[in-house]
Amino acid sequence: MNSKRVRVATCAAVVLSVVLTGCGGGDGGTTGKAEGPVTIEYWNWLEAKNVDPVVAKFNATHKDIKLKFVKQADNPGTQQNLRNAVAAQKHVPCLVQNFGEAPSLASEGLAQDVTEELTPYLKKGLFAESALPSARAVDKYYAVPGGATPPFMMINRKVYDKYGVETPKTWDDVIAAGKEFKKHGIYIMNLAGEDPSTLIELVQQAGGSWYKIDGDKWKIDFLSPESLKAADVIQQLVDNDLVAHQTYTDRPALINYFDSGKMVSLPTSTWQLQNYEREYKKSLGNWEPVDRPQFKDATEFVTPMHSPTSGLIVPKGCDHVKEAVEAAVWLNTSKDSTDASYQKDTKQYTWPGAIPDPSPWVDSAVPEKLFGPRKSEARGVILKSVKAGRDNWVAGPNYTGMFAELQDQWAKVTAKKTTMKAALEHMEKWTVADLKRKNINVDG
Amino acid sequence: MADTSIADTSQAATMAAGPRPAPGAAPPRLPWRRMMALKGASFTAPFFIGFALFTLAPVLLALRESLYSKQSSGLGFGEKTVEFTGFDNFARGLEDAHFWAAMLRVALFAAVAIPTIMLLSLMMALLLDALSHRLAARFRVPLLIPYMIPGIVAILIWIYIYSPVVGPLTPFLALFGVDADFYSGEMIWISLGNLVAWSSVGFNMLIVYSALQAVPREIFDSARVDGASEWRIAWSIKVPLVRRSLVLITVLSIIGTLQIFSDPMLFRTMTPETVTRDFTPIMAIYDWAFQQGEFNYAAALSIILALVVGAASAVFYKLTNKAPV
Repeated sequence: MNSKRVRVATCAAVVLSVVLTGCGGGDGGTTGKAEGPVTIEYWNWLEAKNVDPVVAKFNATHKDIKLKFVKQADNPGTQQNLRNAVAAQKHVPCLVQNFGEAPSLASEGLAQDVTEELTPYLKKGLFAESALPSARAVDKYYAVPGGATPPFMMINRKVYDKYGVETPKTWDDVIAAGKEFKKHGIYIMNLAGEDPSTLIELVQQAGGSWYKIDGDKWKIDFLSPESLKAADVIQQLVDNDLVAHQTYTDRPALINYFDSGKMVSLPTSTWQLQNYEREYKKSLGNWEPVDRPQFKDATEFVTPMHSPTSGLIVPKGCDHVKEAVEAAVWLNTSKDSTDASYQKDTKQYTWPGAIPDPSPWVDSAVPEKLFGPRKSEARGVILKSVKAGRDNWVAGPNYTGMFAELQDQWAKVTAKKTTMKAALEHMEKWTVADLKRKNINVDG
Repeated sequence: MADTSIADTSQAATMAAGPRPAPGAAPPRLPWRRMMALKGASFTAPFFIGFALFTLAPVLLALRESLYSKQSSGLGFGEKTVEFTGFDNFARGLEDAHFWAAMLRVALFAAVAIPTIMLLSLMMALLLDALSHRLAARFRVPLLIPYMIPGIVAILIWIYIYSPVVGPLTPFLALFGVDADFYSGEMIWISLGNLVAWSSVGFNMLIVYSALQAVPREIFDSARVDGASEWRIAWSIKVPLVRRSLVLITVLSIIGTLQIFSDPMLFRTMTPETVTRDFTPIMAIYDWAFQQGEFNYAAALSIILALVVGAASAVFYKLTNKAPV
């Protein structure tokens, strides 16, 4: 063979081998069977300063399992990256911060059933009862529960006092207070056009659920009395122009607005308090923590404690499910994990929502200046909310798509292009049709 | 001379045909002309390899994906099966009211925005052409600056400028009693159109201006001698002579506008109640693929969109691309 051809053949072989190596197999390193400790790749979009110390603590206290934290840009970015990894079955991580309803992610083929591996920890009573439904569908678990942060409300006491408005105890009170504030050009609440979570939490608080399992099929009910009761509150707030519509995505503008005193009631939770403390300039000390308003016909005090994104999922394609679950249980329930999450700048721990008794960490969740002289009221409000937490919410297998459709309907409601009831009627039809198209058993 | 010529012709013919191989000799070399042709063609290889890898292969993969669907069973929590469903995804796409509403929305936007941008670009190019070379050089670069700014950065700049809370435009217009909400349903296309025009007019202007510069100046002088006004020269001589360039940038604009994505996607973060997740065809496709995980259906919609964009561009090209008289 002449030397020129040999050179050409060699070059072609090298190029081909490089290309084929690039396109060929390979593994994320989390599913290998190598000797030594198992490395669990852990995806989360939280800041590294929050996660790194916890991962370091885990690695220092565990010999057979090591965590490797891979920072994700944000929730949507995590979704996209995981979908690509699972579809390709390459570089699949073994633990991912939940970014939707776990049963829906299982239905999409993204999350594994972890019931068998999780059961021993459930039997030990490591988790709060209210933390379990978010991770469960029928009798199977598709995430390691993370629990919720306790919901309550904070009101701008200074503005409430200035106009002589009583603290609202019920949602009807909220509407009445809103009408009073409207006379002075002030909004009672904010309903961001992209986020229908206020509606969902109201339905949960009323005891409703849009998805229910009836034998071997789904029953979809967006028009239940509980759902319509929640819709009525929203409709009154929108129809009477009582609410602002500041988007959450423009954070500086949002905080500037909240801080201005033009919006005076904020349904919130423990994880947000330190952010408000850091970001508010004018209204620090003016706020007061109060109980979440109830429906006027409520027979008991209830707070919605469903949290779709707090758990940790083990994606399809991870071979080390047992180790991943062990690490996730440690992350979500151990005292070591919570203690390691302490941030010096905010003086706050990550809220241990999965455990039955988070009371030792309540005080650290309350910032120094936000509530001014009313700081001491926060502990009682928070613990009352924890005790009253309920989770009857059931997530169906197409929840991700349903939520996206609901977001668009919600946007139209806030822009007064449709009514809340019409949006719910649309959602009922859409959800049933979508389930049928996916060959899933559904009534209707 | 004649002998030499015959000898040359004979030699050339021999070279073209190649030497006859002797029995047991090495395999014949490629003919000279073919070898030169192959060498010439090899210069295009990088493009064709890139085209095959990054355009053709994805289209073929999308075509294959679009013929399958994932199916659940029971309550929907078990393993999904991937089934060959033929053209079902295409049929679903053709009946998808949201997708076609997005297509219509963008088509209407294109029908207004593209002629406006073309007109602006043409006017600016004509004005620049009328200036002296030195003066024109001073304006060329500043007019091109918006095009030099990366697209995402430009969008973020305008998102800030439009912001009713922190942006400067709303309070400025309020001084004149104008209550402008650039993110409202009534204003959103104007806001987007302004951004698209700001980013693209400079580039389009440069293409037309280059074409104008290539036109022999004597033609204009002749027209002036015949008594034609500058306006008449521009309309009757310059514009027809740069028609090919205008057609080119219009086709590129049609393709770009029908596939508009990053601008409304970032605007959505500010005004989700106006810019919905399926506001434009590409946004709908992105949502199906990456938010809802239905890659097969998203692939079918991508093919449909490609066909629509291809058809629209081809029709426009066919109607307008005539040689100048």
